[in-house]
Order: sequence, then C-alpha cells, then structure tokens
Amino acid sequence: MTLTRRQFLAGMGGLAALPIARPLIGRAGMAFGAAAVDPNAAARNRVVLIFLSGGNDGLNMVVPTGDVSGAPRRSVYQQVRPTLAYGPAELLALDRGGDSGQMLGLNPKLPVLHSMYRDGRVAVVQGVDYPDHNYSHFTSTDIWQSGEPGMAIDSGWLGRHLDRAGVAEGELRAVGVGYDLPLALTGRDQRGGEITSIAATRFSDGASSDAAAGPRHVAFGKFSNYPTTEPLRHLAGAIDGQTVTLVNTFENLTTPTDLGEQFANDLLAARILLEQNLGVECVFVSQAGYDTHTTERSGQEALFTNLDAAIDLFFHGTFRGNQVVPALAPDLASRTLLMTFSEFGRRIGENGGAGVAGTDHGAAAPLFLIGPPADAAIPTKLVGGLHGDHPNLGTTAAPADNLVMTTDVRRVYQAVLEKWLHDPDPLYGTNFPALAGLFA
Amino acid sequence: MAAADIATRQDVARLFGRVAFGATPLDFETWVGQPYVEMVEHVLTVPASPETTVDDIVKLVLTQSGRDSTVLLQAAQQWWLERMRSTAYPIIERMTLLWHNHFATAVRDENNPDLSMVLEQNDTLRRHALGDFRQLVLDLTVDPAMLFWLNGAQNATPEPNENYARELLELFTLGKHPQVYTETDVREAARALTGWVCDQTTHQVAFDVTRHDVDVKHILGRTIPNLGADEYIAVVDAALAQPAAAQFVAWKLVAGLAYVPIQNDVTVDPLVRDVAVSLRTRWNIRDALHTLLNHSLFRNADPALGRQLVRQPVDAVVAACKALNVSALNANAMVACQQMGQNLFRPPNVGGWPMGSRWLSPATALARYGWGYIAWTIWANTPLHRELPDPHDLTAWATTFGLAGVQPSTASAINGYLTERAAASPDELRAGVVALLIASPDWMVI
Repeated sequence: MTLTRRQFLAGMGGLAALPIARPLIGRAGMAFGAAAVDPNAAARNRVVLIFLSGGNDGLNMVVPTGDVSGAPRRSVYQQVRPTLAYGPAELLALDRGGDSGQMLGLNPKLPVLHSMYRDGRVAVVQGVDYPDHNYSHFTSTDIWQSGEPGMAIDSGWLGRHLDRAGVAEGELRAVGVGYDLPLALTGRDQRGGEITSIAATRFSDGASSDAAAGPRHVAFGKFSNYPTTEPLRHLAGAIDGQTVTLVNTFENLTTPTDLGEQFANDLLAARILLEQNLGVECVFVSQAGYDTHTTERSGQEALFTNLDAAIDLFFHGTFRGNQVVPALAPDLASRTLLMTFSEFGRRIGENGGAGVAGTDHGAAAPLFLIGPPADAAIPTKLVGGLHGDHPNLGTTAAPADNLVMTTDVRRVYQAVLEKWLHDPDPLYGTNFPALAGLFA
Repeated sequence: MAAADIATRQDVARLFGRVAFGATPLDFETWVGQPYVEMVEHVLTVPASPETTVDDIVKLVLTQSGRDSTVLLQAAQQWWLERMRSTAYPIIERMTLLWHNHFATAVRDENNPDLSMVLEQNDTLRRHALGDFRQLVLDLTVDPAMLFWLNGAQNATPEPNENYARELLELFTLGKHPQVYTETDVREAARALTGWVCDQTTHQVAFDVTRHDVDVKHILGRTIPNLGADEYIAVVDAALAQPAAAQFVAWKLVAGLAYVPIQNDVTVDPLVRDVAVSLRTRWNIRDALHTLLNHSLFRNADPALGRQLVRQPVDAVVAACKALNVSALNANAMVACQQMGQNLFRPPNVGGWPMGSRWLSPATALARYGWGYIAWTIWANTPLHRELPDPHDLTAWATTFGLAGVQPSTASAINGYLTERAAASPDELRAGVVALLIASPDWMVI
C-alpha cells in the first residue's frame, strides 16, 4: 500500500491542518512529527543491502559443477569436501548465455534466485574481497561496511554517499532494520534512521494517537535538545521527528508485517520503507546464522530457504506459496537494487567429518545483485549473469587453503555508486574503477 | 579528612548507578558525607559463597525441565532480572551480567547449548564474578554451554574446528587493538584444544585422548608439548601472559562500568592502564574493581570527555523496578528488555551486546521511552506499592530514582509538561513524570 503525500501528511496528527507546501525548518524548531521529503526522491534509485551475517560459505552457494581448462575446481572441491560437496546434478545450472562454459551451479535451495538469474535480473560477482583479508567476524564486517580497507574506520560506504548527496535537515534517506545502526549507512556528516521492526515502531504509552497530549510530546520534542557531548549526542538524533514520522506512517498500514520468520519480516519492512513516500533510498537488513563451523549443510540450506522465500516476497509478494502482498509495483521494481554481502567466505576444506562437517572462517566469496526486470524502462540496467572470475582452488595434489579475491569489493561499490546511485563525486577514483559491464 | 575524600550525592548516585542497579534513598542516607573509599569497600564486600534465595528454587526447576522452550527462556530471564533487583549484593549480579556479555553465549532453540546448560554457565560466571579471571577463562573453556556454543565439543584431530580458539584469543583474552596473535596462533590453539567432548544429556565433560592432536604446538611464542587434558591450561596461560590480555580485560571492565574508552587508546587511557596493572598481578577481579571504582577518572565522570556510562537495557529495567520497589519477575519487564535489544541468555552473537552510545540508537528510542510508562503500569498494578512523590517534587523524584538531582533542562521540560497537563489527575501526572524521567538524559547516562 502506498500512501499519497497528502494521506501521509494527514497521518501526522498535529500537522494535518497545515498547508502541504510547509517549508522545511531546522531541527531546533522542528515541529513534532515533521519529516522532510525531497520532491525528487521518488525518481531516485534505491539500494537494499542484505548482510549475510556470520560468514556465508560462498563455495557452497556458487558451486563448481565441472573442471575448466587449467582449473580443476570440481575435482579439488569434491576432494576437500567429502561430506559437504553437492553433486553436479543437485545444482541449478548457471548457464545463461556465455555463463555455461564456467561450469558453475547455484545452491538448490535458491530456486527463486535462480529463476530471476535466468530472467537476467541477477548479477553474480565472483571472488569478491579486499586486500589483507581479516578473519575476525567483527573486524571484517566493519571493513566490508566501511569500504575503506586499510584505513581507520569511521563511516560506511553508503553513508558517505549520502554525505556527498547532501541530506537536508530532517530528511530520512537511509534506514537500518535491526537493533544497531549499521556502519554502512553511517556517514561522517549524517546518519540514517533505524527501526527494529514495523510492529515495534509504535508508542506504548497508552496515550491516544494525538501526539500533542501526554508526555511523549516532551520526550520526543523538548528532550531532543540534548547535550552535544558523548555519549548523549547520539540520543539527539535518536529521539526526533523522524521516529515519530515512522510511527505515524506505519500506523496506517493494512498489510501484514509479521510473517513468522525474522528475515522475511525484515526484508518486508525494507520494502514497506521504500513504498511509503518517505524519501528512503538505502535500507540495510541482516540475516544471521551463517557462521557454519559445524553441520553446515543443514544450517546453510535452512538459511538459503528463508533467503529465497524473502526475496520472492520482496519482488513477487509470494511467501511460502502464499500471495501475502501484491508484487512490488513496477515503478519501484525498476528503481530498486538488492545487494548481498557477507564478512567472509569460508575455508575451502571442511572440518569435523561426517555428521558434523562445517567450515572455518575463510576469505573471498560471490556477491549477488538483484535488479529491475529486463523490460524496465530505465536508462541504466544491471547486467545479469556471472561477472569476474571464479577464484582458483589449487590442484588435487596441492589444494588451496582459501579462495583468493579476483575482484576488489571497492570496484563493485564504485559501480553501484557511479552507475546506479549516480553519485556526484565517485568514491574511489582511478585506483578502483567501476567493475566493467556490471551496469549498462 | 579532606572534602574530596567524602562521598557526595553525585558520588553515591554514580557508584550505585553504575555497579548496583541504582542508589536507593537509604544508600543516599547512609553514604552521603561518609568516606568514599568506605562506600566502595561496602559495595565490594560480598559473602564467600553466593547467597541462596527463594529464586534459586525457580532456577532449579528451570534447570531440571530439560529442553528449553520460549516459555522457559522467558521465565529464566525474569528470574535473573528479579535476582538483580532484589539481591543484597548487586555487584555480584552486575559483574555476572558483565561476564555474560564478555563470554557471550546464547541459548539455541534446536541445538545445544540449551537453556539448562546456559543457566549452569550463568552460575559459573556468578561464582567467579569477583574472583580469579584466569580460573574463569579455564572453567569456561571446558564449560558445557561453551563447548557446544563455539564447537569445542566438535573439535577433533585431524580436522580441528577453530571456532573456540579464535574467539578465546580475539574476544575473551587478547582483543584486537592491537592484534598480537596471528592466524597461525589460532590454528595451533585449535589443535591444542582438540579432544574435549560433552554429553548432551548429563552435561558431563570429558577428555577423549583419541580425538586429541598429540604433536607439539607453537602458540604466541611458546612451545607446548602434548599435555593431554591439561593442555588447555597452557593455551590460556600463553594468552594471559601477553601484556595485551590485561589491557584488553581492563578495557572491557572500564567500558562496562565507567565509559567506553576509544579502542585505539587502550594503552594510553589512564584508567585502563591502572586497572590493567592491578589485574596483571594475580588476575583478581575484585582487586581490579577496587582500583577502578576508587579511581579519579571513575569518580569525576567528565561529560565533556564522554566519560559517562550509558545504561544498558537490563540495567534500565532493573534500576527502574528497584526505584519503584516492584518485582522484576514480570513479563512486561522482560519484554521491555527485548524491545530495547537486550535479550538475556540470547546475545546477538559471540561478540555480545553493543556497549556505550551504540545503545542509543533510534530503533530503541521508542522502547526506552515506552519502558517508563510500562514501569509505572507495573507499579500501579502492584498491591501495597511504595508511595510515589508529589508529581511536582522533582527533588524527591531524583532521590527515588537514584539520581543526584535533575538537570535544569530536564526539569524545565518536565515542568512544561506538568503545566500543560495541569488539569490531569495526580496519578496521570506521576505516570508522565516516570516516563519522562526514564526518557531523560539524566537517567540514560550515569
């Protein structure tokens, strides 16, 4: 359900009587529940980042189905993963156009992703990582989100994009779904908003929805005049009109928001955030559980099943065989890009043996981008299919320990910033040019 | 005695607020004007063996109930919240909570560790809460919940599982600022820790020599021969011998109880440095706390330098229940913790919950504000509840809530509300004042 701008404003209690062309005012004088929406926001492209948290085993997501000239990938894979290896016949062939020669298959628990790949909507960038790979969940997660390996980490790659784009006071262009503001969305000049879920974004003070009455008016109004010192300055941004705007917006939703599965709820929340006329451009969601040190086969498959169903829900409105909401509206579908990442892939060889086999922390892995339908009437489109090279696995006599990157993540970020988000000031300059051919 | 040695209202509010879930009116009465060091001594004086309360019967039932379920987990969360509120020795529960975050272990629904294992671990954390950090690490290395949580029980030669070894070095002992261990150290430590198994039903931990790698290992510059079941002791000692270990654990204590020092300043923050010195001598946690709580940087929390502690959600819930004199054995109190992002026995991952300003995210702002109203509702529904102050008497409210006072900006906001709602009933105004105090900067950071 998409609200018109008028309905949206009418939902904001005390503001209903004000003229729609009400000018923006700064935070100090911000009316309760006011948010600024740039009139150009509807025409912007959007990005939903999906963090596969824990270190997703990319080698069992995009799997060698056969050896290729000079690279006995399948032979090595089968040798070092006696328990975890998928048989070639189990896999969903990545055989679109010129891809078939690469002898790769997709994990069988990702049928929706596979069918969207066949439709040319899925780009798979292989072997993505950064130099001097770090094997810590926490450090590597920060590096991926910062997009600045080797540097002091103070901001995220999309947060800096929004800094450059210039976010007006009160504008809500980035939202994280979770309990903690994601670094990726945090800029040096501004930071995004955050919700834990649609359902929890409401007042529980027992007062009527008339925001002018009761203590909430004080808590979310006058208390926003918080000290500017640490750590209280963080609260100044937390309790403000944006939060109230989200409450008022979600209050009017008639669609389901709790599907009984955490990640589906979060990705649906991302979709709802994009569907409302809030000006939201970047959303961050996480799916936890990929740290498969043991019993990887069942663990990863369960996660992929949920991931695939949630992606189906996001685009097609279908979840576990039910039409839960309508398909994503065509105008929004043509402007929305989903992008996965994980802090690392996993070791090539398995540990533990039959029954408990898993993998330890590794390095490079594939990154998935899911974009508009092939017939979308937009100037620049994501180019579906395989991009970059699959990393080598060594030889059967000398198997490699880790997958070494073939594409620096900064080249992917640069492509998304430059070609998709039309960043006015490309981030990485000539050292990390946009990955060629990802958008056309 | 010099005036500086005498505890002020601010000292009482800060010390009890940070390590004892809030000062009570009696704490103010007892300690204002008394020597500060004696107040610290009082807080740190605990019985040799943990107190037994009726609560323990509840926990016994939970432990005996076998497989966990959401209902049991929620009951266990309420049990611990109420224990934190009602204990005569809050420092023990406060430190148990700190170690629960440090050695973050989560109950799994379908797999181990189950709730009963995590509750056993909770007792281990409590037993060593103010004790010997080295013994705490040793016990947790072969703790049933930990053996399943980080796969120590699946770590066997010839294909070792690195999960516990990495987090032992990165998260439990050495940290990464700076990182003093290498990937080789992780792999060697994993080999040294092979062989431990745990029975899923009895929780009996055993060392199976046939699963143990008997070759020599090289860890953090030490050569470790095959020591069988004692080899894990050599691994822990190799880690704790690094100067980085005391610095890292001191950083965790300061971050958990005082303020979050800048990570890269771990060697230069004077409070971290001094706590590390007392920790290093014999790894006694009480000694380290003695240094920490008496330190001028703990006592003179300079807001301009960010030297303040953000109340974590569990603390905000327990302290409010304590202030209102209502039981925290309450489903709404438990749900409030979850909505603010702190689900006891269910940390988000092995890295634990956020610390410091990361608690102040917009996502949880609504839940923090909502908790004030819920707390008041719990009070209103409690028979024979404590009388609350006149809505306009902010001095009395501050004492009730363990605050030294209410800042002028907060007082003016609350007074603005009271004026606006002048016609409302005293109880509605009390509800509003409780909600506002709990949403105020005065309450959020201590």
